[in-house]
Amino acid sequence: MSEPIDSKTWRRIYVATVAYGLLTIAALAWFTAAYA
Amino acid sequence: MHWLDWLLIAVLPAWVVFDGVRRSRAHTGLEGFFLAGRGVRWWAVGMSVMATQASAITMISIAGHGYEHGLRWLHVYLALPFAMVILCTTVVPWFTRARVFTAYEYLERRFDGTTRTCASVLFLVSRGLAVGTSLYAPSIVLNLVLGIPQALAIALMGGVSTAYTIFGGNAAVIFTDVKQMVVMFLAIGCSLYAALQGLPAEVGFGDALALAGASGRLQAIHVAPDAAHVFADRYNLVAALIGGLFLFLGYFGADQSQVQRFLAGKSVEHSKASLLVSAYLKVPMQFGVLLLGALIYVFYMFAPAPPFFRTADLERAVVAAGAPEQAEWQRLRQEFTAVGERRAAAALGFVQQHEPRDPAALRQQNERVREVRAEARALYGRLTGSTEGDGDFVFPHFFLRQLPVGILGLVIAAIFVAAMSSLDAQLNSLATSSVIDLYARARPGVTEGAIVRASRWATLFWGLFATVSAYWVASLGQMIEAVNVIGSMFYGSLFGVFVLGWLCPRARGRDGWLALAGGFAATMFTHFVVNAEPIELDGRKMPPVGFLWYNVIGCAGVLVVGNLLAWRHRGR
Repeated sequence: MSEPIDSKTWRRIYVATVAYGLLTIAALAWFTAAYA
Repeated sequence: MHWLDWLLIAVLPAWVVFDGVRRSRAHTGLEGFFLAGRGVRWWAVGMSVMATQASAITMISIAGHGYEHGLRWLHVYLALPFAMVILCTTVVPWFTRARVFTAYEYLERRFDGTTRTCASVLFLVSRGLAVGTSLYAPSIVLNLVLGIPQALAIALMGGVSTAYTIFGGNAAVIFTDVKQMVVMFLAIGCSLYAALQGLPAEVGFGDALALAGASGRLQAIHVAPDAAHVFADRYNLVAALIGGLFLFLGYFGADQSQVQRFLAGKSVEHSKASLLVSAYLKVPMQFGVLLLGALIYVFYMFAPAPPFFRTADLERAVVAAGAPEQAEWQRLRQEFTAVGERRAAAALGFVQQHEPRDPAALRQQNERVREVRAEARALYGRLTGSTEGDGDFVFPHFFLRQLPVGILGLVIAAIFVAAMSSLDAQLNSLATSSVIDLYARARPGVTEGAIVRASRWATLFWGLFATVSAYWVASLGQMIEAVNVIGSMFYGSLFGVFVLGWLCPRARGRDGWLALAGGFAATMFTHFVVNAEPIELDGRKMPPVGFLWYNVIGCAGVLVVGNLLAWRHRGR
């Protein structure tokens, strides 16, 4: 991370992180439905 | 134990500590000692953030929790990615641009000196209460493996961590944490592999998951059926997303042990990126450890296990008690062996069925196993007066008997370094807040050298405090829950005062500490008054408000009181 990251890229990173959090919950819900 | 395991146990922690202290030599002065010269890269800070939270409890207690209750503990971490995004856009830029040493320094600039002192004291009390748990968990392992008394084990671990934190400051903490985290990841992966390898040949990975699922060990997501469950049941999706969000906002945004990690980042961008490391890795890591516990449960369907994993302690108590208790223990062991054989047959029968499999017979035998284990636990409680279970002894019992040469040493070394990686950051932050927020403020004009010297003494004090309080921790029950309950009683209010400063521009001066007191009072009222009368849900007695909600109540309490107080300043 030698170059500063612009605010637009940070926004994309945040959206990706929130999407990752939601996908994790969806994946765990599927796992629960499949095995529990 | 093989000589190679002994070598790993001795060499790995020693190398981690030596290299950490060596790298810390370049960092001198106030910023060098407290914040590693604000020059650490994001991945190193990110690993240190994870290592601070991932203590030996993560390895031992969470695997034990997975054995006993399955994946439900995962709920606590579901809100972590969302909390990290909020923190990256709020407190991380505030703190790094303000160039503060502690989070509470920021509160003096926003409110007044009393608010800063109150927040710092609240942190010192909450972190001071939790710090002993970092030492207690690995002392179990030292006691089991080396047979040395837990008291000596606690003193040994506490002494080493305190020593290198005194000499190396925050830089030593971060550089040791990075390696400690790598060792932990390796140990978790190897343990998972060993648990699967130990299963009978006819039980594959899919069968093991099916057995764990049929035994109620794979419920990662639970949606509460009504409002009473949402508040009382500790593990449900709504409580996890709302309560957990506030828990992590408070922990990563207002607990100095975490704030001091990301303040060491090379720039605000490195600090932000370091928090996102946890956002992406924490849930998979916890999933791995909990799954390990669930697979150990499946493993013991086929392998011999004691009815109570704290066998040595129970047997000592039984021998001291007399003949009737010895006969009862003997009967329980025989009954458990017989029940275990019937369960192994039921488990094999379940695996050999065609889809859809019928879990009724397996569940019936699981229930019998649970009843005999409950009887053994009751016997232990009757003889010792202890309310402790044996959850923290499950993983040590497993790895001492099942892990191959080399891997056993790696796992034991990982438990030691995990304990140190969590303790060092806590000692470092306790010392920093004590000295920067309290000592240096009380003595204006004190030199940099005197502050660093005072911090080394403060680290020694907190190291001794942690060591002594570790003995008391043993009476708290399974540790992982105890730590989070204590934390939740403080974090909501602490974070709430930062939110008040952000959302309520009119709040100023003493509004800060009065609102903080209001939020803390609301949490205490909930814990000691509202939760004094347990309610019965699904045949279990539980407090009407689960601990994750304490974080929301504390934060809301601060905002309500703060806004009411700020109303006085309207029009001025």
